[in-house]
Amino acid sequence: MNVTVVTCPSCRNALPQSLCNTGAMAHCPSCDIAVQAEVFPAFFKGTTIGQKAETIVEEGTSSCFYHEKKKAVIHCDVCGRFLCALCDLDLGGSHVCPACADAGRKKGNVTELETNRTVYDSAALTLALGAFVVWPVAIITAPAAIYFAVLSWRRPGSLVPRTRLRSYLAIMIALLQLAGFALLAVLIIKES
Amino acid sequence: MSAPAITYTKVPGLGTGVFEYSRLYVGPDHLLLVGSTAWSESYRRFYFRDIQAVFIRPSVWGKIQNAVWALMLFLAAIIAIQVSDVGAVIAWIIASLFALGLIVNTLRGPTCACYIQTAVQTTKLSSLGRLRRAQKFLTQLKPLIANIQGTTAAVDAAANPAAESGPPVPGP
Repeated sequence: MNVTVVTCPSCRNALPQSLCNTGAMAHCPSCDIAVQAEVFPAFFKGTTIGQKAETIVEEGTSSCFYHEKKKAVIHCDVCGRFLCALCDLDLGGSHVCPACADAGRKKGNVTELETNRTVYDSAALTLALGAFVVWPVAIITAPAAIYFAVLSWRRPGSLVPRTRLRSYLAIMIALLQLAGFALLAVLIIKES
Repeated sequence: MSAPAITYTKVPGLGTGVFEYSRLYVGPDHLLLVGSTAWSESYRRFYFRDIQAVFIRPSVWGKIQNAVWALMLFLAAIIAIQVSDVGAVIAWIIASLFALGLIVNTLRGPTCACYIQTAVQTTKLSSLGRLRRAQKFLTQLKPLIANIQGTTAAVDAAANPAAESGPPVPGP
């Protein structure tokens, strides 16, 4: 076990081991702030060093596509290229090469690598509701809201489960706004 | 390379910021912290194998909120007493809304700050702002992490087998 110290989240001073994993609040001896600390085995493991690629010693052994002097240990599940231990990336149980992982990240089809997404249904609802603040802009934002709401049905949405309520609501509000404008136009024409 | 969709379960609670709100989800092998703005979502993953520690620290935010509700209630009640007729009715309705806010905030329990630590970052889980909820979540999280990492007792036993087996027993 490495010599590691659990620190108080408030004062950053060491918390005694006896105060951790008690399942209850305990007071930090340094700052006297109550804190519940649950420490898991990963805390004591320290940093793990990645695998080293083996150098080819026998002729005829398959080599890595990216490092021709390194021994291939697996193939990429996407492109099939042979990979050494260094180039092998484990993504949710499948093995891919760095190029495929990068391409997948750019195209947004590797869920594990996604850090953000545009959610068109939220954008549509924001546009529809935002028009209430500055109502004349609704003539532009209402059609845009409808467009984004329809777009949200075709594009990948949120990573987490959500209903289509936002898009339906956005369409409904935007249609009401457009109807309001149409009514206003009719009234103005009648007046004139 | 499209992988099957990951199923997430929402952890109750909503963390609010100025332009962003955050929610926490539990996946098959990780926690997903989702930060949402008006048009986008950002994702941070905490794999169970990487979570080193979780800290919960009580905060005074709930008491401040209660003080604000109580002050607003007091002011609305003063106005309701001072004015008459329709004004008094409106002021009492407003006062009752502040009273409702005070009651709801009190019933939700004390507030806290919850932090999750990995080897490279310590992140505040702002959606876990209530002590009861944070402690309940921690109770649910511990077996999920133990399934992957084992327990700290097992780590201690591996590091110090003599202590685990006890003192040597003298022979006959």
